[in-house]
Amino acid sequence: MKAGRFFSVAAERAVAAGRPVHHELEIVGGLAGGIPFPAQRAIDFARHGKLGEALGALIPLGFDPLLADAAAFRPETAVEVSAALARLPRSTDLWRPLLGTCHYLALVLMVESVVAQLFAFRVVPGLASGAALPDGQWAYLSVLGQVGFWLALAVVLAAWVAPLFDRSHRWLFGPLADARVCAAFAPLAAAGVPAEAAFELARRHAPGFAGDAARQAHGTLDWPELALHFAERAELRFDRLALLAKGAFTALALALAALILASVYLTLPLLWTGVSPS
Amino acid sequence: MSLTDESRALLALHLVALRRHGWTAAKSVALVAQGLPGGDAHRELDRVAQALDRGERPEAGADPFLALLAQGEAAGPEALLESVKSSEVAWAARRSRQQAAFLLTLALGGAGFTLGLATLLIRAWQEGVSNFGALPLVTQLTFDAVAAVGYLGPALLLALAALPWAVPARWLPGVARFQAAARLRQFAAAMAAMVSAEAAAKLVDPSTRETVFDGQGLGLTALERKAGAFLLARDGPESGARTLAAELESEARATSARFAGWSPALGLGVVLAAAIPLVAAFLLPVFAIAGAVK
Repeated sequence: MKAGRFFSVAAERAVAAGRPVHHELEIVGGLAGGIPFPAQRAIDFARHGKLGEALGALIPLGFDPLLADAAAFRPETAVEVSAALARLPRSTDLWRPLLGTCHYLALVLMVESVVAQLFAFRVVPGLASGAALPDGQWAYLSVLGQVGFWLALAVVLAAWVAPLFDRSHRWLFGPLADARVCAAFAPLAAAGVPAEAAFELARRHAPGFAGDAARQAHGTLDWPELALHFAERAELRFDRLALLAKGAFTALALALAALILASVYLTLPLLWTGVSPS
Repeated sequence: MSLTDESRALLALHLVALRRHGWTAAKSVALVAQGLPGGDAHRELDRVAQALDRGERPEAGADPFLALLAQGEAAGPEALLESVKSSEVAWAARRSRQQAAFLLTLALGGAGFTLGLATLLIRAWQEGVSNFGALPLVTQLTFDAVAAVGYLGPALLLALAALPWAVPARWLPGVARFQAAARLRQFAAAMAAMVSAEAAAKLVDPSTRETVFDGQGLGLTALERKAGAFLLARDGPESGARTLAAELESEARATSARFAGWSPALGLGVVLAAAIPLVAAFLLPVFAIAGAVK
């Protein structure tokens, strides 16, 4: 367990049990050997009776933003909401297959790039020195090598930067947001939180879900079941994305390898003839 | 009792269903035992069912699942469901171990094979390549290394490839956290079945002194021990164990998934590193010759 999570868990339990959050966080600070800045801010807020802000301040330490809002409605449901949210995949879990694929293919592209550069700068200039080749004939190889390098870099960057834009992407993250809201609704509905108040959460955390139909059916829907349904849908979408990326990047790597190979073999005869095929 | 974690989870789920239908503990265990083919597990469960039927407390031994069943009526659906979770987490630990060991074996085995092939080719071609004239320093060093080490390098790598299956499972990414979480769930299940905190702690970790969190068997870090003690003081041992188990599971899942994400690139990197002697022996001289022609 990381120290940040220790603070979050302690706050969650304190809120559910009606214990003073600032007091609990101070005790945890003593046990963990120090109080990080977000926890200190939470202590200050909690000391002034601002529970919502205090829980919000703990978000950098791993406190779930949805849980912070749900706990502001009904503090005693915090533990149940937290457990329900923990059963769902996290957005970082969903990205991982894609990240793995991207790292692998970036390495493949990098190797191709190195091979092309070796040919361009070490092998070819020597072999071509005696032949009357048109200017820049071998430069293609160097260009392809550079293309491979930049592609590899782009793939890795895309894999790392894409998750930063995640929250606003409805197609990709909508189902997960819906799943999380549904999971939070179950304990809230059991605690008798009115539909209008509960749907305030949906408006903030899953705008696509806060439609009238779901609001009217608030008392009758099986929220845990719905949460699982949406979570599965989220996983399927990420699987599709990973498959698409795998296919596209593999095609890219193969195309680059073919171009490098073609560049070598189409130009080799020129060593003897000195005439461009075109 | 010779049962896999999957079988334990399935048996416990059957028992939950029967108990929820109002069956007694003895009758439920007897029915589940009947469904098992003969063997240790069948005999043990049958013995527990008979003892419970006679109103006796069966001897449970060191198996936490049997100890739970031996609690009879006290081991209700809640305790059994906690036991199911424990089995599922133990199963996740095994899957995590197998996945990590398989990937490491594949990477190291691939590297061993590549290095072996490189050694074979270098030994076959070394003389021919040397006739080209003055060799680059790296090529010469590679030839010297191959002459000195021979097939010992590839053999060592191939032996290392078997190592992930031989080392303690907890050394592999995510496994130790899963194992600790499974034991904490076992502890919570035993407590839900009215076993005393001390006895339940000894059941999952004989090295415990006062609480389940202070023993060495769970492999908790100093901070986790403190967190456990804090949660114990606030919410009691059962709830504290559940909370810490959930945290450890979440951490283990993340570690295991992170490793699985990186491992293909890591594996390819290891194999490529093993191919460096091939490049040094066969490509560098060509580059050198090409450079000389120029």
